[in-house]
Formats: sequence, structure tokens, C-alpha cells
Amino acid sequence: MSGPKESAASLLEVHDLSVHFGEAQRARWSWWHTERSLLRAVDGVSLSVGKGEIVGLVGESGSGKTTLGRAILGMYPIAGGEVLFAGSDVSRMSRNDRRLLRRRMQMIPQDAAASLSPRFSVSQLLTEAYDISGTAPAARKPTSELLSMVELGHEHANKYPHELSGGQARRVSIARALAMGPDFIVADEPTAGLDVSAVATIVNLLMRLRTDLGLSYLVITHDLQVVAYLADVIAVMYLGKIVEIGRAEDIIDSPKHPYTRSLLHSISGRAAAERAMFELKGEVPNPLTPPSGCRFHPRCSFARPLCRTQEPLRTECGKNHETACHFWNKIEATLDPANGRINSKENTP
Amino acid sequence: MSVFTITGGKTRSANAGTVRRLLRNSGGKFGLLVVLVLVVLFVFGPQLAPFGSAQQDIASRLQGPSFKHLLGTDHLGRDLLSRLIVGVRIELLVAIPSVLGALVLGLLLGLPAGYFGGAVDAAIVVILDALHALPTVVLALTLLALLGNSLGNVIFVMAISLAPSFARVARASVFSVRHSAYVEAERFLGASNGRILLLHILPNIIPPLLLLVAMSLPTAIAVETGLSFLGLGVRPPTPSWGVILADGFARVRTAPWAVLWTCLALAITTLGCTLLGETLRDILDPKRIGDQQ
Amino acid sequence: MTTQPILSVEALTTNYRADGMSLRGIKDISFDLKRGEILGIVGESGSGKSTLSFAISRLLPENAQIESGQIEFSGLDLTIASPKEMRRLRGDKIAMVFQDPLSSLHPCLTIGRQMVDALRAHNSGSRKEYQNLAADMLARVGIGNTGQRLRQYPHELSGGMRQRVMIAIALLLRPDLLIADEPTSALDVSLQGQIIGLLAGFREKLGTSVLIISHDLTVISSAADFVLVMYAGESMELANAEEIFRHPLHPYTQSLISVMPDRRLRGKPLPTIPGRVPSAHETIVGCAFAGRCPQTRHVCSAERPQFSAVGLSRVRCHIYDPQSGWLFDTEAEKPAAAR
Repeated sequence: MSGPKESAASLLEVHDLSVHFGEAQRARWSWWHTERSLLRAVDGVSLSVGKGEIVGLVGESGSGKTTLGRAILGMYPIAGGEVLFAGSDVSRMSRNDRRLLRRRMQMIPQDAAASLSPRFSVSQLLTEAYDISGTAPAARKPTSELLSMVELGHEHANKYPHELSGGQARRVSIARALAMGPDFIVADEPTAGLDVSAVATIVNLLMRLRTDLGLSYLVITHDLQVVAYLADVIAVMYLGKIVEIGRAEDIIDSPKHPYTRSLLHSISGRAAAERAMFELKGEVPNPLTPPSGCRFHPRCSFARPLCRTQEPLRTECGKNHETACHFWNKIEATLDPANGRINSKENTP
Repeated sequence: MSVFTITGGKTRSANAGTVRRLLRNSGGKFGLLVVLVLVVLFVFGPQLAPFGSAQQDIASRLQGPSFKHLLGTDHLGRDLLSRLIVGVRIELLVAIPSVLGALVLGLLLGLPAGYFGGAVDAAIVVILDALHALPTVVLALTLLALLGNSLGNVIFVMAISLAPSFARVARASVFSVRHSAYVEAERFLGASNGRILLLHILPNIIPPLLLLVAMSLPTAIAVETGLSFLGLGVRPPTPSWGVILADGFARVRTAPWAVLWTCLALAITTLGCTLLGETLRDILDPKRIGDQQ
Repeated sequence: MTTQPILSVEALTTNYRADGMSLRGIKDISFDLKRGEILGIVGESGSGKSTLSFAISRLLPENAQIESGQIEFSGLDLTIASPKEMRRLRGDKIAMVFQDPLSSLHPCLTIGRQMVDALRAHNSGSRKEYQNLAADMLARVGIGNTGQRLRQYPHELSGGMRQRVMIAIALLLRPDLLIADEPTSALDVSLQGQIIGLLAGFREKLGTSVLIISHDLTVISSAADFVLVMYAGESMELANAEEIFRHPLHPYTQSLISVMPDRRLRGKPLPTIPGRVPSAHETIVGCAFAGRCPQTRHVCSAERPQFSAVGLSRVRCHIYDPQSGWLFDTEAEKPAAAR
């Protein structure tokens, strides 16, 4: 079970990765009786990111997408599986090697404004990575160069984080990630909370940096419009598992998993009758007690008894396209192919 | 410690805007005035005092306020105003090192407790609770009795007894920021714990500590006064406020002036320091700067 | 549906004081909201959309004030209503739902207690009666197991559940007007649809008029009957929700729609809006969007355009001005930007 795009050009390969949190303690019956329960935030996930590729990771909150991104960067201990970056196993690396690898793998954190140390000026924030790693002055990119890489003027160098707009803060954290000259960037919700016009400029910036610097991205987002525009490969996560992965066109134009279909429906204004079939009912269940069998079955309008008992495996459902659903081909057959096609073409002008 | 070479802690605090914003607030204005007066008296007290602090005039002893002696005289006919003014230097010489010592001790205990949590935190909290369980004066009395009575020991004892509150505030403040997004971002960059604590956490927990410094100064003065009053702090004839109070207290029924003026001086000092501290805390918080505009 | 508007805002202008200056808030906003209608207000940050909602509910911050204009709500001018009258109106006739339900719910009181308290503040009845009303309303917003939910505290509920509770509390007193400020921004995509559907459903069942404020044109257009597009404190376009997506008239609305990431543009850069929103310190002489508009002409920065009717919509743009507009101009005169 591995990502569909497994090739020699892969920069990052994740095999059967699991991340567990054991700290969660729940009170049952009374406050002195607590029970340790295991939170399987990421449960057997495989995917790969090729050189210069953009992989979009989508899912609702609680799907484990942020945890997966952070585990890839070595920020969380791994419970099982492996993360291979340029052929070397990140999870079994010595501390020193991992520190060296940090130069090649960087992160654009979730809440950009809050992730900039409030008493540091922009120029201090930008030189920080160099100070920490002890980079020689000759190897440092000047602040003005870093700022111009993210299309910010030099006058921002002396500003403090609270003086920046949302889009500017986002650019500064991108510049911070670029300082070490990485090959691969995990961008966690790079456009969340921004104005519509700022979203477009940030998305353009990410695309331009990929072309100019040959970067690869793992873009974690809940914004399907952004991911449909930006990503080469889309992976859909639900409760710690990847339920569908494939080329962006395939996922958007012919989604196979009922969950993917529902997600795409939420961004397209379709006829009410059709929307009702795919509308996601209820909320993501508590990840501490995931449903048995297929984790999506309580919210799936196509669920059969089998779904309750047996967990579906990821199977090929097209070229470079995998889904974890027992009945994906039956669902496709029942729906008129023309109706089953869900895309955003009709609703946008 | 070459890791800490960059100019981390530079904040907006050192600009003229701070003073302007301080003066816009009436509480801050009063606090600043009180502290400025204290500073002037600290530096120039002996020169400004109309009489020598030990200059006796037995003929005019235990007098009420008059044009010659604005606040009256004590049982040896010494000018109370002069004694109070000269006393400022003694008070601050004891109080400032005590509070700064307490701040350093508190940070040494509070920063690691809040940052590392777990066993480190549990151990430090036990120490703090033990210190806190003893009343300040009892603790001070015990330590002074053990160590002997000298100015250095008084300062040391007061630093120890004031340190738990600093440690508590530091610990709680670190708690609230240690999982913040920027601390996590720094950790991802590979910053060491020391760097994160000193450059990223410490500057952001300064405002509440600053308030505590300002509020602790009058506490330190009051404790020092108390110790001197009990004869354990500064010894007569050095005119510390505690000594003046002790002298005055013996004759409070016939000549209440000494006690009255000393208590008033203590009250004004406390109020001024607290108001200044509160205003400074609000002004120095980078997030509140926007609100005030 | 009656034709009499329940809320009629006329030339509403606010300002606020900062740094000893009087700064521009919202300027000359007018619209009508009929019973059972949903009006969406869209704008980027700083467009004044929240100021508008605060002005209507008279909850403007202390340094802001209504400068001129009228807010007529079922025959009462809210701009001159006393604070006491406003307190009675809010919660009873006008209800509000905010972006972050956790900060609007009391953390130490159970959901049931908060709902009963809301009812008691404006009615007289028995506790039992209120409990039933509260349970009934929770069921209506799609919360099952109401008996248990009423005994729970806000932190025991998930984000989507809390937002439902907020809506349930807001609707308890059957308000005539519900103001929802970014009601879905903190929620997942799948929940956004559910919450919007809920608001739309109550309009039909209870005849509540709804004012939805959002930065997200997609959310707005799926829920609202009409959309008011705001920019730099001014109303730019007011149109039917379907129409505004299909045929946006104002260049700003057109830009807003064009910058949304569209997968058909994959591989090509997305269009952007150059420049920035004018700050509150700048005085705007002509059209607020003139500096960023791709079709700007000299008249745009010199003269303020009227909010004139074009078909069923209203647009504040010189292009559509009945006298000077160049909507039907020949090719001879090109926009300034093209030259």
C-alpha cells in the first residue's frame, strides 16, 4: 500500500505512517477514575511527493492532516511506518542529521500572525534561522533579498508582527521558511483567514516560488477551491486515514469516495435534490472512538452492513488513483455518469 | 553563550511614545511624579533636607508642624521632614536590591517550572509552597536570627521572602505562552530551550513582572520598616522609616506626628508605585498598543 | 411576504475618533430588508461590514458614533432609540449570532440554563415551560438528545454544535431580525453548508429576516436572496444573489469574483487586485475603488458616483451613470487604464 506516484523522482515518501497520542485522559463515571485512551491521529498513511510537485492534503478538522504534516517534519514521534526524505529515513535519524535535514524541509505554520515572535522585528525574524544554525555571514541571504522573494518592500524590515496585515504576516513566514533554502515545504493552511484578494496573491506567490526555486509542497488546507487550483495530487483525509488519493484532475472531475464527493459538493451550488444525497450529515466523530469498519460509514448515505464491520483497503480505481471504499464502483454505476461528475464548472461564471 | 548574541529583546519600550502615553493617563502621571520625587530624594536627599538628619535640638523636641520644622520634631528635637527625606535613600538602598534579587530568584525558579512542566515543575512548586507557607515576617525573623543582623542579610532575607510571588507570576505567564504558535515555530527552527526562554518567552512575560516589581517595592519598604521597627533591620540612629516609626510609636499618644507622617509617606509610595506599574504594564504590551490608538 | 420592509437603512454614515481625529466609518449605506428575506453583506477586512451590523444593533464601540442617516426597524428609528429601548429590542426582536460561539456563551452555565435565562429576560412563564421551549428549539436546529444537551456546558460541545446552540438561543424569542456576523467562518466546509441551510430554513418557517455578514462570497451567494457588496465603508453593489455571481456589474465585484482560485486557470497566475484598500485616514474624493479599478477614468477620482439603479440592481459606479456613464459608449473612448 503506497502512494500512486511512486517513482524514482520522489522527494518524500511516507509509508504506512502512524502517529498516536496517548496523553488524552478522559474522565468516566467520576473525576477520580480516569482512563487512558489512545488517539490514533494518523493511522497507516502512505503518500509521496515528487520533486517540484504540489500535493494537496484536504480534510475537515480532526482528520489528522496537520498532525501528518508535522510528523513528516519530525515534530511528533512516529508510532509506526517510515518517512523517507531524499532516500533517508527521517524517523530513525540522529538529532544532528535531522537538524541538517531541517534546512531542506521547512514549514509555513498554520496561524502566520501568531507564529511570529511578537517582540522580534521582521529582519530579526528573518535572520533567526541563520543565528540558530550558525550560518556563516557569506551564506546568509540578505533580509532585503528574502523580502523581495516574497514581494515585500524593504520598509517592512523594521516592522513588528502586530504592525503587519494578515497577508504580510503570511509572506514573512514564507520568507522565514525560504531563508534556509529548502527543497520541500509543508504549508499548513496557507490561505486560511485571508481576504479573497490576499488569497490570490499568496497562491500566486507559492506557484511562482515553485517555478523559480523548484520547490515541492505539501499543502494542508480545508479550502477545496485553492487545492483544486494549486495541487498536482490531492489526498483526502478522514479520521486519520487517506480515503482517496490521485491526480487533482481525477479527484475533482471524477471523485470515487463518497466522502470526496460530499466535500466537492459543499463547494458547488448544485440542485437541491442532488445536494441532499451528498450533504454531509452530522459532524466528524470523536477521533478517540472512531467508528468500526469504514470510519465514514455513519455519515455515508451508501453504507451497507459490510462497511460497519470491515475496513476498506486502498484499491486502484483508475490510473494513479486510489480510494478506500468497498463500493466505489457500484456507487459510480448507480449514478448516471453525467450526474456523477461533480465539478465546479457550472457554478462559477 | 554565543547562541544568544543577536539583539533579541529590543522592544518598542524605549521610545518617546511610551512616556507620552504614560502622561496621557492620570494614574500614570501621579505614579511617575511619586517615583521621580523618590528618585530625586534618593540622589540628593541629604542636600535637600533642611536640617541634618541627626541634628538634635532638645529645646524644641516633640513639636508639631511649624514654619521652622514643617513636619515637626521627634523626641530628640530632630527635624522629621529631614529624617524622612534622608530615610528615602536607606529605604530604596534596601528595597531595590531586595526586589531585583527576588525577581532574579523568581525567574530562576519560575521560568524552568513553567517551561518544562512535569517533574521539574512539581519539584519547584513544592519549594515555592514551602516558602509561601511561612509568613514573610516570621521567615525574615528566623533567617535574620540565624544569619545575624546586617544590611546585606536584610536584603538577602527580603529577596528570599519576596521571590515566591515572582516565581508564581513567571511560571503562570510561561505556561500561557509555552504552547503558543510562535514558540512552536521557534522550536521547529531548532532553537535551543535557553534561546526560546530568554529571547522569545522572557520578553513577552515582562509586563506582568514589571507590575509585580512596582507593587513589590512598597512591600519591601514596608517589610524593611517592620523589621527596623522590631529592631532587626536598620539600627538607630540611621534614619530609616522603620526607625522613625519605632521612635514615634513610643510617644504616639503625646506626639502622633512621627507615626502619621511615616505612614502617609508609605501610603503615597505604595500608591504611586502601583499606579505607575499598572500603567506601564498596559503600555508595554505590544497587543494593547493598537487599542489605545 | 409583505412588501413593507422590516428594516430600512437610509444613508447611514458613521465615524470614529482615534488619535484626536474623526475617521471614516461607513458612508451613506442604504438598503431595505423585507420580512423573511436574507441579505448578505460581503466585503474584505476593513470594508465596514461589521461596523454596519454594530451600527444597526447600536453596539458600536465607545469611540464610534452614528453621524447621520436613519435605521428604521418596524416603524422605530433605531438611531434615536434610548439605550433602554435598544436593550429590550436586542434579544427580543433583534438577535445576533457571532463568529466565535465559545466567547459568546457563558462557560460556567449549562446550555439549558442559558436558554431559560434568555427566555426569562423577556417573558414571564414557568421554568418547566421554558425547558420545553428550549428543548424544542434545540431539536429544530438539528441537535438530538436534547434532554442531555441542555445539561451540558459549552466546552462539552463541538464547534458546529456550539454554533447551532447560538442560533437556537438567538431564535428562541422568535426575533424579527437575525444578524449573523461571519456565522460559518470558524467551521468546516461541510458544517458551513449545514448552518447556512439552517438559517435559510428558519426564514421559511418563522419568517425571520436575516442579515448575514461574511467575507466569503460563495457562502453568501448560496444563502442570501440579495447581496450588498461593501468596499472601504461604502456600498458598491446591491443585487440579487444569483445575478451578482452571474453578471457582476461593479468592477470591484467583478474583481472579487475573478480572484477566487479557479481550477480552469491551473498553471496560469490568478488575477489579483493591484494596490490596497484606502486607509481610514485617507479622504476619498471620487470613487473609493478608483485607484485599483481596471476601468478607471478621470471622472472616477474626481467625482463620487451615485448609487444608481441598473435593472433590478443598484451600483455605485460611473460606468452605469445615466448621464455620464460610458456603458453604451462606442469603441472610440477606451478606459484610461488601457491607454
